Amino acid sequence: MLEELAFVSVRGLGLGALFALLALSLNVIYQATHILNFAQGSMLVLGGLAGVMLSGHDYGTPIWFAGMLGTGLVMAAVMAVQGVITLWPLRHSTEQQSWLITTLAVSIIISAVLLLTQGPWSSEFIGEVPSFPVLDMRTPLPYLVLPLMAVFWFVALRLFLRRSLQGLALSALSQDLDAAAAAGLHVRRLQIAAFAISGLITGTAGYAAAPIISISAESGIRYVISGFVVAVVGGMGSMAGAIVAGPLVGILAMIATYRFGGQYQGFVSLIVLAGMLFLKPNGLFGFTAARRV
Amino acid sequence: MRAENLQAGAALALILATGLIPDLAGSDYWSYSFQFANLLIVAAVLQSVLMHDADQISFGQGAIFGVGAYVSALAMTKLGLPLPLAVICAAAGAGLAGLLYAIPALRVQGYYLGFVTLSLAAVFPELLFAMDAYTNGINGISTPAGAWKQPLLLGLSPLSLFTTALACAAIVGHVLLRRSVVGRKIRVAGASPESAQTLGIRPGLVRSAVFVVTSACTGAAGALYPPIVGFVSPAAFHLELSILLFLAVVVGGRGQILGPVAGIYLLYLLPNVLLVDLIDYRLLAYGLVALGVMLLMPDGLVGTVGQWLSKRRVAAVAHLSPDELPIPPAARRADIAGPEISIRGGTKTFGAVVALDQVDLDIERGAIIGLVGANGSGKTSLINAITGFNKLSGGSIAIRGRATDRMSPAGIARLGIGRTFQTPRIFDHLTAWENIQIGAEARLRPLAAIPEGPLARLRDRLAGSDVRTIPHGQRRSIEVLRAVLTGAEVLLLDEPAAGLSPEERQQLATLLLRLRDEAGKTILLVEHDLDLVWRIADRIVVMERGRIVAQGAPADVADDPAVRQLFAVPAHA
Amino acid sequence: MTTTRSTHLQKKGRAWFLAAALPALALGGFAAGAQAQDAIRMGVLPSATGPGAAIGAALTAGVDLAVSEINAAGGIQGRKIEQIKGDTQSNPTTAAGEARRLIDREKIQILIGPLVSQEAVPAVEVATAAKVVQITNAGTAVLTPAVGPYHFSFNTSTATAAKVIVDFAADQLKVKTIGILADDGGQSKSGVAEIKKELAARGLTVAGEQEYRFRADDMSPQILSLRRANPDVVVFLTSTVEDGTKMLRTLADVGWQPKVLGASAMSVYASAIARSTGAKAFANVYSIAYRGMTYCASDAEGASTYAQFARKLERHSPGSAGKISVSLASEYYDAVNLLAAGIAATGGTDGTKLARWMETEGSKVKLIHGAISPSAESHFLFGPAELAMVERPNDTRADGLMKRFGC
Repeated sequence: MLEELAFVSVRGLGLGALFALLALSLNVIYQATHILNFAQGSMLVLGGLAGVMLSGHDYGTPIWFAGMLGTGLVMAAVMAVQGVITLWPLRHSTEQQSWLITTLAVSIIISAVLLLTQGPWSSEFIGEVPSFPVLDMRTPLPYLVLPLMAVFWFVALRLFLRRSLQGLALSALSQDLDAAAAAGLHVRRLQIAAFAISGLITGTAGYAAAPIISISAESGIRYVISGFVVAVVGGMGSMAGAIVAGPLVGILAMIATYRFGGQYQGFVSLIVLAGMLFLKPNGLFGFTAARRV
Repeated sequence: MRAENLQAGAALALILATGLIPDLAGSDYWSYSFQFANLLIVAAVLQSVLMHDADQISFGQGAIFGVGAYVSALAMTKLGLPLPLAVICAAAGAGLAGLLYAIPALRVQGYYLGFVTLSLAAVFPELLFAMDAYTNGINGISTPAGAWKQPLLLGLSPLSLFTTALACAAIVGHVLLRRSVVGRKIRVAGASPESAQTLGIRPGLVRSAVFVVTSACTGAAGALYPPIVGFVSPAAFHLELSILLFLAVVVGGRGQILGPVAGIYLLYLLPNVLLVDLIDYRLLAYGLVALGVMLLMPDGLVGTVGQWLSKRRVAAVAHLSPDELPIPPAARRADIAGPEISIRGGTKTFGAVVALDQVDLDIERGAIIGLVGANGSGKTSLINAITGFNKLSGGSIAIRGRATDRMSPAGIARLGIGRTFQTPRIFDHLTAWENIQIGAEARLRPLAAIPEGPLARLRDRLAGSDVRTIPHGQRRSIEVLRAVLTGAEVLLLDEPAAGLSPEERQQLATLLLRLRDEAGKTILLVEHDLDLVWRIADRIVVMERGRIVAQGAPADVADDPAVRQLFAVPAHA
Repeated sequence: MTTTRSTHLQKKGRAWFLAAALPALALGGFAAGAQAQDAIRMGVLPSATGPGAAIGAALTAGVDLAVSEINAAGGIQGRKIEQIKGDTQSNPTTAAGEARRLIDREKIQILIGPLVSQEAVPAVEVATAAKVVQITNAGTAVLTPAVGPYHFSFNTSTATAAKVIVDFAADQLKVKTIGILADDGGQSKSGVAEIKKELAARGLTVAGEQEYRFRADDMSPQILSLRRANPDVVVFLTSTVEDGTKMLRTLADVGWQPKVLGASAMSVYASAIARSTGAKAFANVYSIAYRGMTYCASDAEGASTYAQFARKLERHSPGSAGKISVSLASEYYDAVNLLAAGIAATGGTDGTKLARWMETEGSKVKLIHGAISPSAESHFLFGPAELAMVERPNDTRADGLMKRFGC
């Protein structure tokens, strides 16, 4: 029993790391723009699609890395475009919630294009996926790669946001948009850069996770909901929160499935979310809102 | 108002036409499509009320609709009830489900609330499976329409009449809600909960009530689903339904009466009915329409068109001078003498930070008390403590001898304490007049009759003026007047002169003096403008680091060496 | 003199005859011509979008192939088949609307689809009212001939399939305890409910029951949990290739090789799954299949109709043939041919006549899946006799047939 709990926890850690990466990328955009990008799940799926397209050719590890880099850059460009589309109407009207619709619409459009080009089937990763031993059972390599990637991106983001000039400018945006603009920062440009960074993270994550995730027109919305749950539980906008909450939610879900049954898997995230919002509405590492009066 | 009437008329015309003509023409397909579309319109109108009027984000109204459908189906098949009774059962059941959404709404707001409702809606089909002893799970429940689809008169079936009537009622109800006292209270509670509390409204209660009522009505719409389709099953109430309702409200135009109708037509009828031959491209069309409309018309279809049409009319800029503001005569008060507000040993700490430190203060009736001090000296904390927005860590507060330590802000407001905030809480979604009217509607205390003449003149002056064109100084006056109209005997004003021009400050001073002299109000004035304070205050209280360092008549306080140290006091005081 | 008069009379008679015959011939000619041009309007209503899009694609491919073959051969008694397509969007509300559109506005005469029970039930109501013969894949017991006199399901009822599986487990594998692993889709849930009923009736115990999300990311908790319960055999219900692949891969990862009893999807998807997992994963796998898709050692390997169909499908839709369930596509190919035979036999698409024909004469039609066995009591076109259990469903003969168990 302990062995099995440990095994499913390893699996949960891997999946949780995927959600943490999603939450990190959601937070990058949220910090710079206060936008919740509903299309993030679809972007993950696109990254996975790239991984699948490069599979089955027996390329070898260096090419795999090159592919990951390439995918990250392509997705950064794609998300920068999405950023332009999403931010554009916010400039021109009093209705400051168009992003809700535009991000959802982008998600729907990507689903539709996937349906038209790939068909209704999920794209399968071709070929043998190396696996590593856990206790006396085996687990596919992505379950190891993803936690490492999550730590990498967390550290990279932290260094970037605190040490580099561009990063500091982005941090400034997250604290006070108006003051940042008044200080002469090119707010729009920085916000689009945030979208691009988010794409880099999501693209590489999807690529690495390609063998284990479901790459189809339908799965985007499911992943973004998981990403949101983790982001909220960790504290919206908090990178540390995302890194901690991801594996937490992932492992909890797996243990609950093992003990109580898979039909409760959906309920587990709901309960964790609701529980966190009741106990600590701002999430594990979230910031309390300033007083309103 | 005229725009609203126009939109309501257009909506009613569309609903009547689409609801009745297919039956008259004998087209089964169009009857079915528009019956269902009209139900979606009802749900979308309710989503709009929730989202715009009450400012609550719910991504889960599709699940509520599903609850209504299932309860109705069970009522008809297992209990054998006729449809009208089944609708009532469905409304009750859906109202209970709405309560489930209301509970998180008491704790969190904004997008956090959206996620909770989204998650609830996502697990709704699974919930139906889990309860398959009642819901028949995957096999669904067959619900033949029977007599409801039999043509009654000219080919019109009772079901078409019922759905059309329900959709029309939703539109009319929305308009009436906007113009009612309840509607205004809901909008205030949504836009600014703390402001609502000063008007005696309890935002938590209002939010819960709105969730329960809109859910009950959505459930009533859902109750008509079983006879239309003839079958309820979990796959029909997928997350996509909730997302559609939400998208339709924003794409149609948030807060517009015609918005939900436009949204449903654009996002449901267009891809599913008009473009139905584009099977493979339907999903793409749906996404592109939503994206396209939001890019080109960010205020939604109806919102943007409405703006284009109204650009011609230039809004009149209202200018109010204090003499025009109607002041109620002093109320005759037979109650006890003694201070209005009395604080003993008031202490408030936030962790290591001491905001209030053993404050002893009496505020006597009919006086203007000036409260001054540097930023962070505890002035606003004191007001927050008196009005109940912060509970004291130590000490006690009594209002007219009555301990208020445990009372909610709304309760304290009802004792006749009114306040304003550092940034004026003026509501853009209400007209200028309505912003004042909500004060009177709050009816915190019985109000002595305000002279009708000035009030009517004011109403006429403000009618038709966009609240956004009213300059900052007069926004303060509006807020003060609103507080006065609540019948509050004590007014706590937090930095009312901030951002006012010298002329406006003079007008403010005159207003406050009139309130004291003609209306017998008690005023606590927190201010940085020492000039203003020294001119009109009867007594001045000086705070520093949470403690009162000096109080007394203006001349005495000016001579106090402790005060001299703190700031330069105007010579003429 | 007589000859002249008789000749005259004959001439007159001939003239009258001609005068009468010509219009009749012309009319007959017209009628024949009109019949030749009067296309048969066939509605096709799969779930082309939504979670059910994959099986919808199989339906479309099978129907397309059948219709193009029939039309190329001149149609049914000279009448070509015209397809009018719809999409249920995997949603019962839309299914009912589309059924109305096809029947009410497009005036279809026969209907193929929707596929699954939840979408079929509301559509059947519409087709029944219009007396349109309809073939779906619904497994629900709700659709009796009383409820849907013109509806036929190209499927066994879920109860029948469950009985065959459980009987096999009890009688052939001789096991006592069962583990159940199924996805959270509608068809699987009904399947599980029926299987549990049958197990109770046969006195077998359910050692453990687990559910996974459709297109799950990871099944290891479910599999480990079932392993703890130590069942003799695991009954596995799936709706997609990727879930089947994931399940077999996870079994390999944790090092557990129980006997697996798959529902029909396992047979249908076996070759696609094996491409990802390898043949070894199927060592202990049994599944249920239509008898017509199986062979016994004694059966001659021939130019099997199924293999021919698979090749034809590959040529006809090269893009999708590799991905869709060829087996499911063949069911709809059969369905169209069945209806075509019926229309030819009854001379039209009249619902009552055609339904009657299906019940009584339909079993005479040779189909890829063998012969159907409907009756006035059951409109499930296949009964228990048409089902068989196969061992290692991925291991097909050159003609594409699977080996029956116990042969």
